[in-house]
Amino acid sequence: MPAGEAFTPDQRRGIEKAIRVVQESTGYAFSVYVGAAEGDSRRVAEDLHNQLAEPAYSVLVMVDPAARALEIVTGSQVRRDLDDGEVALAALSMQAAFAAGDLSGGIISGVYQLGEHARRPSSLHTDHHP
Amino acid sequence: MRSRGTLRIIAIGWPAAAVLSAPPAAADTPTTWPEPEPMSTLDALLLFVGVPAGLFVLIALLVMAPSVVKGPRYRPGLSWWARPEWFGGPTEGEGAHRLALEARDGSDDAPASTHVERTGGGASARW
Repeated sequence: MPAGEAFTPDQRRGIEKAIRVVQESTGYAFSVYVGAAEGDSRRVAEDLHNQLAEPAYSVLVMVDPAARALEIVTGSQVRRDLDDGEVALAALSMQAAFAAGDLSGGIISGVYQLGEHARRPSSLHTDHHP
Repeated sequence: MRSRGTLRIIAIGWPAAAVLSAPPAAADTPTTWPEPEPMSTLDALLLFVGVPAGLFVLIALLVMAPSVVKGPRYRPGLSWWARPEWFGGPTEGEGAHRLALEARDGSDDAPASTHVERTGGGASARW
């Protein structure tokens, strides 16, 4: 592994797979940014979130290992299915993994957890919805 | 019949006497053994310094090999070395993103991707 890479190829594949699986199951776009954020990390995370193609339908997870900061930003539409309490729950479990030094594991399980909460209940009686 | 005390003394004393009375001369090197060549300094150095040093290096390599293979690991509190990485960012994964958007119910109100999003939610954490 060349120096300067945050993750091994296996870890990278794991994160990409988690994002893909969760995007397919929820229909929302998930994005994970790992890197240093200068200044107010919340502001930086929101700016990153706004750079996404469809911020309202996107979830951004920002991990700043240098500042030991984790920010999760949900778009206004995502928030209907994924309320802030559920996000905080996922953040808590990610926080625990990060504190133990497991960056990729925390990201992967956190993304899956967010996806699990964001999954909209399958509507059984709206087959003929216009 | 001898008393038990006498028997006890004999049982302890006889082996002790046998060991203590052994003649020291018996420990001498037999004269029939071949006389070895005197060892050169280089050979001695190789044997008594080179071999332990080699073992030292070998064991150290065996210990370090797994972490060298796995690469540097994130440790909380130490400096961060890697360049930023964005999974599912705007420049990559367009296909997956479009797929996600198409999978969504089309009757949703149109998202305004240009306006600044401030009505979203989220959470923050530190570790």
